[in-house]
Amino acid sequence: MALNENQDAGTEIMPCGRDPLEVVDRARLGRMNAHMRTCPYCQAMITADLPAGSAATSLRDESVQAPDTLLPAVMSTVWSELRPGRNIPLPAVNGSAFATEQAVTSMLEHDLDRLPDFVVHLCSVEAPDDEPEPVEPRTAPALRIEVRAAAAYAVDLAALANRARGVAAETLLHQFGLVAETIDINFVDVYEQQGATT
Amino acid sequence: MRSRGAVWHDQTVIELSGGNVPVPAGDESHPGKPEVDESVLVLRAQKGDPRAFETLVRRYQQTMYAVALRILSDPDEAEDAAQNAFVAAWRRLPEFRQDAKFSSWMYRIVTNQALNQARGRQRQAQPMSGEDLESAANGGWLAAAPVDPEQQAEQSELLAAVHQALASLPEELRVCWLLREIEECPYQDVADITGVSLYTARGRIYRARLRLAEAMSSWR
Repeated sequence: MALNENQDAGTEIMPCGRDPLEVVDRARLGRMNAHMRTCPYCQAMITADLPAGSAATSLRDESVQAPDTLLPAVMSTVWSELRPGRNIPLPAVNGSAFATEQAVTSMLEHDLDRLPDFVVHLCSVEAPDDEPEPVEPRTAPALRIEVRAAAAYAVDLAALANRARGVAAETLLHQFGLVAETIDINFVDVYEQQGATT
Repeated sequence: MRSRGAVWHDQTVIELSGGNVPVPAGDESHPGKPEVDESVLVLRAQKGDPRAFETLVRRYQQTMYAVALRILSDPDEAEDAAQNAFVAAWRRLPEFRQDAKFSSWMYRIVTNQALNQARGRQRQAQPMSGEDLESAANGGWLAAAPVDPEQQAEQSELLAAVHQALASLPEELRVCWLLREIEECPYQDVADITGVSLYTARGRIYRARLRLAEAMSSWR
């Protein structure tokens, strides 16, 4: 074959009119048709591919283990570049206390995901824009919570939404001392429970 | 305690400390729930959720490291390439379109990263040294499944020949071949990842196969 080939050229159709990639792919899958079994061009292509095909299989079978240091190194950078969102003031008597939007969101997602038949897709927390300057004792703002979630198939969605609201309200209050003005639950998907029979 | 409190003057800021809150759905304590869908993880990560991104990294670290390793043939450089690729993905997540495949997007980033590193060190497709080949074939950085000694010897020779043949390919052909034959990407995905047309991607895979077939004809 030519050494100075054009790297953007396509495949070369064989004299029998077949695409060599398709011929080899079919042969590797054991799906040869009558033509391929008897055509000398196809047979030559299939035979020529055997060592390379075997090589590919050998390489695929090799187990490559990512180093243990990879994940911590990536996440170290991610945590250092975190955009945690705005600070939400928490009720406080001495000094002031804040939780980031990201902290509140993560906690809500964590607790809501423990709810049966309910999988959180996305949770957003919105605090009022016009935050007053900190005064003591600090008054926490009422939050607007929006949760997008999937529900298990054949579950009473209205009841599930109420349970989710209860969990979210409890988490906000007990974990952060916050209250929600609204907790909107949007079901965006339905899933079949694993192991369920249909 | 799930959050870390840090006191500066009179102000307490509660921040996430990382790694303390378990990834929720799909674990053993929640029977019946599906694994969190990848698109959901991507959406959460796009909104800045580091735990969702960590789950994505866990899912793809082996694959992306393997791709980088096979392009660069050097474990340390492969780790750098995979690390840089994941960090780049985190930074570029806001640009990621939800209708695209995250895996293809990651493949593209890690492939480009590895190729850039390879070009940066002006590494023309040199055949690996005998020492490297021996190391590669005998489990230096690739742990092959244990077989009997005779099979292992033959397997080692075959792998050494494969690595040598691969190293002799131009990188455009090698990357397309690796994505198709090792990562088992569909042809269209190979084209998307490498940024060429389907026609070109198929042509590159075809010519890579021809060259490998030629280089390994003695194994027939």
